[in-house]
Amino acid sequence: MLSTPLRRITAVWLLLVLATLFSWESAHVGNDHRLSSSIVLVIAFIKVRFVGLEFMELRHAPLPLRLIFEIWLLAACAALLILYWLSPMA
Amino acid sequence: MDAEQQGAVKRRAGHVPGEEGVWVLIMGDMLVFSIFFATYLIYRAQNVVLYTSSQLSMQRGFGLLNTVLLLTSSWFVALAVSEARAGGRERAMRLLLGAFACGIGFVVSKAFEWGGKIQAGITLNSNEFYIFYYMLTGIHLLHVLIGLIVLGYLIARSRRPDPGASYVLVMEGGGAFWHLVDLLWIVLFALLYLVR
Repeated sequence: MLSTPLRRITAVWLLLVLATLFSWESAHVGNDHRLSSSIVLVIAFIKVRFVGLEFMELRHAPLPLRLIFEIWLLAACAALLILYWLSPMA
Repeated sequence: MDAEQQGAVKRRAGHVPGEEGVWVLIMGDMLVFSIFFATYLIYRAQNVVLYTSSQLSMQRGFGLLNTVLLLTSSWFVALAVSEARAGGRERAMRLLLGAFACGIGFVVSKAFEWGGKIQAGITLNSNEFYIFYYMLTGIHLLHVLIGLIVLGYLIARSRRPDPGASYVLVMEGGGAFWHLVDLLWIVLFALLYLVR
């Protein structure tokens, strides 16, 4: 039986692998590239947040460090989504 | 108070994993990569057709395999740090070996991916998309290689009869760097392989 922190780490890993497979699928289905690509990007940044908070343990970090990470995450995700939507369709 | 309770008290006060300098490097790297990602989309917007048609030649299976390898290596590293903190150095060392093997797997798979492309005549000079593809995956691969050296050091450190007072701190810092390699790949994989 795994101890609590080990169980939590393993649950996060499983979630990340499932999210990878889901974004893989959503990239393959549907005709609306814009929507599926946006979903893929958002899922990527949700995964990044899990890696940062859980694996890098920023969840327990002092607030300034965690805030720098969260702000970077939001800014990067928003910037990439805006740039993507401003691009012409293929 | 046992180690776990001490850890819990420390965490409540807010604990910086590893040396603070490591975080300057990590955050700096994240900033630089986010500029790379934005630059990619800005250039892509000038010629979306070229980018989407070039992406058709991308073997997404490699991207998926690489993502799962890095996620699994990060899982091993996170478990190893937890074990190291609880005093289980032998187990930590074995988990780090698992992470190292996944990292080597990533490098081998990247070599096959690049090799296949180069054999098919697709190089850095083929077009603008491939400049981004080779540059971004190349810079990332460099991070993987540095990460493997870090993991090698952590393995050696875990095997020492006396790992030293800074052992847990070094494990946390080295581990955080490895997670950075994973984190950057997650966005890179989405942008280069999946976003059309």
